[in-house]
Order: sequence, then C-alpha cells, then structure tokens
Amino acid sequence: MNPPANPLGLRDNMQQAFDGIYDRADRLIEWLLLAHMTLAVYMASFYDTWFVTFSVGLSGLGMFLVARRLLPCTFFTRCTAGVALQVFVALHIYQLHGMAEQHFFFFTTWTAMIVYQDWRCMWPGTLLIIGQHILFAVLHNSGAQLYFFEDPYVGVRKLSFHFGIALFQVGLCGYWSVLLRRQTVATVEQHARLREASAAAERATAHKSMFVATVSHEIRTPLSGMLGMVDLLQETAKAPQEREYLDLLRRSGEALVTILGDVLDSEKLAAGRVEFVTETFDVHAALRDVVHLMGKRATDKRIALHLAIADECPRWVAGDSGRLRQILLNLMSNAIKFTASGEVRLQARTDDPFAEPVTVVVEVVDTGIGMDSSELLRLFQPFQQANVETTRRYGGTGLGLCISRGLAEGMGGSLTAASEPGRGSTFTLVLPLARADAPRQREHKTAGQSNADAARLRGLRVLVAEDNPNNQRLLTAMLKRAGCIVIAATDGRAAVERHRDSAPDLILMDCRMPVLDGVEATRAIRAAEQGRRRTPIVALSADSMLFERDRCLEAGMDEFCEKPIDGKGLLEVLRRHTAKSD
Amino acid sequence: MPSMPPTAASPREESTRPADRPAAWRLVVASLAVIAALTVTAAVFWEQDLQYSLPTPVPADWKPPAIGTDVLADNEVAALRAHHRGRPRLVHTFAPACPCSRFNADHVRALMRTFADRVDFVALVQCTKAGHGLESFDEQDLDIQALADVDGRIARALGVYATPQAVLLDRDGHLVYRGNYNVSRYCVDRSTEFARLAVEALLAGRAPLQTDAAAEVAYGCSLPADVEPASPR
Repeated sequence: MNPPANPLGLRDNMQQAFDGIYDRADRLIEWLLLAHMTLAVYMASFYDTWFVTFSVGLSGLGMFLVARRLLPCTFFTRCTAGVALQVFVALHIYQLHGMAEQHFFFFTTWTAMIVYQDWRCMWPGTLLIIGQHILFAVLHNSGAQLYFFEDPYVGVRKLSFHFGIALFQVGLCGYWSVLLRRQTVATVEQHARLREASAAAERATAHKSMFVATVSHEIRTPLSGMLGMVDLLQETAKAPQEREYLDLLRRSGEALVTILGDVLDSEKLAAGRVEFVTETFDVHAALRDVVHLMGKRATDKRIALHLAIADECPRWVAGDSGRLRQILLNLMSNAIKFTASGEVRLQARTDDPFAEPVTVVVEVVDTGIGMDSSELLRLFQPFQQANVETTRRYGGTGLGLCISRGLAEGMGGSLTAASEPGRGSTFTLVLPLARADAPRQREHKTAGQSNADAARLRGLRVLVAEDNPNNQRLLTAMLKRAGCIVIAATDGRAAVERHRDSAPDLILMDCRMPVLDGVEATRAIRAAEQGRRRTPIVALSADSMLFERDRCLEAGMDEFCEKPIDGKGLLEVLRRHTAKSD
Repeated sequence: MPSMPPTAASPREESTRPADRPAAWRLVVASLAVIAALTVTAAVFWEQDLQYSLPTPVPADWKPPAIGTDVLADNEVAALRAHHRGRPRLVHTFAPACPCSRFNADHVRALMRTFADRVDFVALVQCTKAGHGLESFDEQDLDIQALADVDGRIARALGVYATPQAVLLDRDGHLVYRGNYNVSRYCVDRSTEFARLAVEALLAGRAPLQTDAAAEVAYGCSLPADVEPASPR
C-alpha cells in the first residue's frame, strides 16, 4: 500500500518552513550586498575607481534587488544572490589593484550563502567565475599576449590548485547547507508528528471528558431519584431504626454525589474549564459555616474544632465563596478524617492588611497522623494519597487535594502542606482577594416572609418535563407537597404542547429527553412566546459539564440546576423565579 | 563537485502548488535585469581593465628612436632638455584618464624610494592644450617634477605610444631603455620589472639592458591619435 501523498500535511509545513528560511536569507544577503557596496565606495578612493565602483556595484546590487522583489524566496533569486556576491568579489579585487587578500571575499560570500540551506544555488556564481578564469587562462597562454594573471604562464598545476581550493570551499559550504537542510526537514517532520500527537491527545481527552460527562449523567439521574425518595421517606418514617437506615442511605448517596463532583471537578481542572464567579461575601461567615458544617463529624470523633480569625483579616471581599468553601471543607474533612484525637484548628490572618488585593492566609492545622516528606511530595497528585495503607484504611478517591490546589491556583492563590509524622499537618491556603464594601442591607427572611413565600407557591402551575418516570414522580411529589399544580410532560415535544395549551407559571426542564431534548424544546417555547409573557424555564440536568450549562442558558433557559436536587433546593428555585415574575 | 545527498531535492519538500510558480513575466523581467547587470559589469570591466590586458595597438607610423640615441637633441623634447641636470633620468609617462596609470603609481613610488638619490624622475603628463591633466597627476601624490605633454608629443619623440611606459636616459641624455615597467598589469611580478632592472644596470655601469621582447609590447592606454602636425622646428 502506498503511503499517503501528503502525510500530516507535511508538504505544506515543509514549504512554510523553507519559505521562512529563504525569506530570512534573502534579507540577510541584501544586507550583505549593501555592506559590500559600502565597502566598495570606501575602497574606490584608493585608486579613484569611482566609475567602476558605482556602475559595477549598483549592477550587482540591482540584479539581486530586482530578483528579490519580483521572485522572492525562489531558486532564481538564490542563484542571483550568488552571482551578485561574485560581482562584488571581482569589484573589490579590481579596486585594490588585484590585491591577493581581496580574493578572500570569495570564501566569505559562499560561507554566507549557507544561510539558504540550498547547495544548488551556489553553483551558477561559482561556474561564472571559474569559467571566466579558465577563459582568461587560455587566452593568457595562447600567445594572444594577454596578461590577466600575475605569472607569465598559467600552468595546469596552478589552475588545479586555484580552482581545486575554490571548489573545495564551495563543496564544503554546499555540504554544510545540506546538513542544515536535513536538520530543518527533520525538525519540521518532528513538529508535524508532535502536532499530530498533540491533536490525538486532545481528541482522547475530549473523548474522556465526554465519557465522564455521560457516565456522570447516567449515575446522577437514578441517584437523583434515590435521594429525592429518601427525602420524602425521611419525612414520613416514624420508627427510629427506619430513620437510621434512611439516614445511612442518604449519607451513602451524598458520598456518591461528592465522588462524582470530585471526578467532574478534576476533569474540568484538567481541561482548564473551571469558571470562577466573583461575588461579595463575608470571609468570616464563610469560615464559620465551614466549622459549623464539620461540627457534627468532629463531635462524633471527639475532636475539638477551633476557629481563629485575626482581627486584621478583612471581612468583606470579592471572590468565589463557593470554591473557597469547597477547598476548606475538603481540608477540614481530611483533617478530621486523619486525626484520631486532639484538635483541628481553622485559622485565618493576613500578613499585610493594607495591601490591595489583600492576601488572606487560611490554615487548617490538625494533630493527626502526619506525613513524611516523600508522602508530602505525592500528596497533591491526582488519585494519590499519602500511601497505600492510607487509602485502604481511610478510603477516598485521592482527588480532593489535587482539586483544592487546582482551585486555589485558579483563583490566583496557592495551597501548600507541611507535616511531621505523628505530630499532625498544616495546610496553608493563600488567596489574593479584592476588598469589597459591605452590602448595605442583608436580607433577613422573617417568618412572615417565609409564610408569604409558601403562599405564593400554592397553586403555582409548574410544568415538569422529565422522561425518567422515577424523577417525574419525585418532582411531582415534592411540588405537590408545596401546593403546586403539576403538569407533566415526558418528552420535549409534549412540553412544548403543554406550554402552549396550559400556560404554566414555571417550567422544570430535563435536558436529555427523547423526541425533542430540553434545549430544543426551550428554543421552540421561546420562539412561540414572541410578544407574550415569558415563562421562567429552569434546566434540571445530571450533566454538570460547563458546555451543557452554556448550551441551556444560550437556548433561553433562566437557570441551570444540577441533579440531584433536594426538596429545599427545588423550593428555593421556585421562590426565586416566582418572586421575579411578581 | 562533491556528491550531494538527495535530501536537497527531495520531492517531499518541493512544493508543486501553483502559487509557488512565479508569473512568467516576473521571471522574464528578473532574467533581463540579471543579464543587463552582467552585461554592464562585463562592459565596464572591459572598458576599464581587460582591454589593457591586451597589447596596446602599435601606431602605423611609429618610428621609435634607437637605444643609444641622444633624444634630448630633438626639439620636441625641449622642455625635457631644459630640466636636464646631468644625472640619469627616468621619464614616467602618465595619462590622467588611463586606469593603468593610476594603478601604476605605487610601483613608480617604490622606484623613487629606491633610486631618487641617484636618478631624476620626471613625469610626462598627457595634457590638453589648455593644460588640463596636471591636476589629476597632483592627486596621485607622486613627488616628481611633472611636465605637461600636450597631445603626447614629447612621449612620441621618445618612442612611447602608450601609458604607462618608462623611458630611461643616461646622464648625457642618451636613450638607455624605453618600454614597460612590468609585464603584469599590476606590476607585481618582480622578475619582469624591466624599468627597475634597467636603472640598476645603468647605475652599476653594466652594459645596456638587453631589450626583452615583452618589455617593448606596450600595455595600457594609447596616446591621443589625432595629433596636429608638429610645429616646425
């Protein structure tokens, strides 16, 4: 089987590479010719050879300039360069009374021609000079009494050495050109191979991302149903044992969700697709929340939790509070997991309270098992824990710290660790955060407002577009309990029809559905709404990849919610959108 | 030619894209430019240099005075005679427009360094009637007494028909040598430095130099051809 005519687009790459080399060489030779012209003008004063200098010098320079302007980067121009340089060699020899040293320019010109990496273009100029010399030697010796050479007779031996050395020089320069050319060809081929390998790696990464996204979606969908049902059951279960089992079931499900989240975050970080939001938040409150969330776990293990925030640590800053919480929860969770007794401290400070942006240093200090230096080295690698024993004994994917460091670096900060076996570890998160003014009025939801929210949801007509019967049932149950009227649709086309016929107040739209998917259904609904009231559409998707979120929002959806969504979360979403439409 | 590996002409790197083929008119114009430039170069070199590598044509009526002749007796060389100080003299013929005369200056300067204390040097500068030409000689920075030789009359009386040529007279004004400085166009072949050899022989009291055939075949620029008849003596 014949190889492809142009594997890896090599011919184009090669052409591009050599065009660059020829262009650079043309420029260099132009400068060299200008230098020769300048030198010639200087040497014209020695024997008043002004006429020869300008007529011959400008002829040599002109022929190359014309060739270069009309035929840049071509073999013709390369050959012309060689000929033009030899014209200057002859001129310099003439200008200085045939001085032998002027012949050295012959060697410098061919050395300069190596820059073209083309041995062939050296020969027209060489053959011109050699031909001229041989012609004059023949005339010199023929009895025409022509005295061109210094000697009365130009013998074969003299000619042999004269031209032999010249040919040797041109041959050497030519061979060096060939070596350089080979190197260029090899480099271009290597770059082509690397580009191909890089493209293949990118394709593989894209496939992997797609695989992760798909698997994640497939797992999240039933998981969403399971956790939702557990929510409902927990409210009706009476027996303590039942409640305990349900609690265990819930925690197991949440652990699965966490693992899925870690895998997806890791994937996003690897692909550089993590987005950070900038919002004003209270650092002190965020740290207190983290300690509060970890409180039960620490209490279960009889570990003391301490929170210490230095006075100079700013309170209101602009940054991604969600990602900060994610990092700190991971660090605190690890600290508690690897601490059998003693305490875990979360402390925050800033080294320069007047800097802008201010650098907030948050440390998580534990009195746990600690690590040696080799374990520390592996610590931030994906799927790596301190050692195999750790994995076996404490479990975990080994992704958490890798993700935390990736997030910290993504926010312009750093995450480092120091540890000593048996004495505990200290994880230090350093984040530059812009100062922000405190919000004028914080929302405090009063009992009256809560009641008003609840009242607003009663009788709300919600179209639930969901093909999975379990999720459909779950959502219906949660909505009905809040007093909503549920209109069900099991595919995108049915959703469009229900929207047209029933005019719901809000639509919960699954993204992946048969017949017409959520995105297409949304486009159809938005198109049908031209000039009419705009119905809020909330995407419910088990696919949390960024492009899925973007696709939904671009299609006209108002919010993107990841599955699984619990009852509280769902009602919060409903309240947000009904409040907007009021 | 050293054998070259096939890499340079490998088809994989030689593009056949139409865009790379230059337009025919560009190739034609560039070729014409190269041919024109080479033609100018060849013509200028021929005009300024190579034609002087061939013997200067001998004038049809050339009748040189024989070696040993008392050339100072000729009325045409009255100016030369007037400056005769009873020492050997080397008469250097110089034409301002002749490239060979400019290139020859170094060699004359070298002869002066060697013999100036024993030999008088005189330059016959080819001039117009108005005397144009002497200023060009001054630019050569040769510390020689310069005589204006209008239309080359003095040079012809000495038997010279081309520049540069050397004429050596003994202390009595007899012609000892007339011919080339050197067969080489740049005067770098020491074995054929005819003028130097003639001066050395004269100063050493040796027999007059055996005239070398190559010494008498003049190389350089012809004297002006259209010479008005010499004024009656």
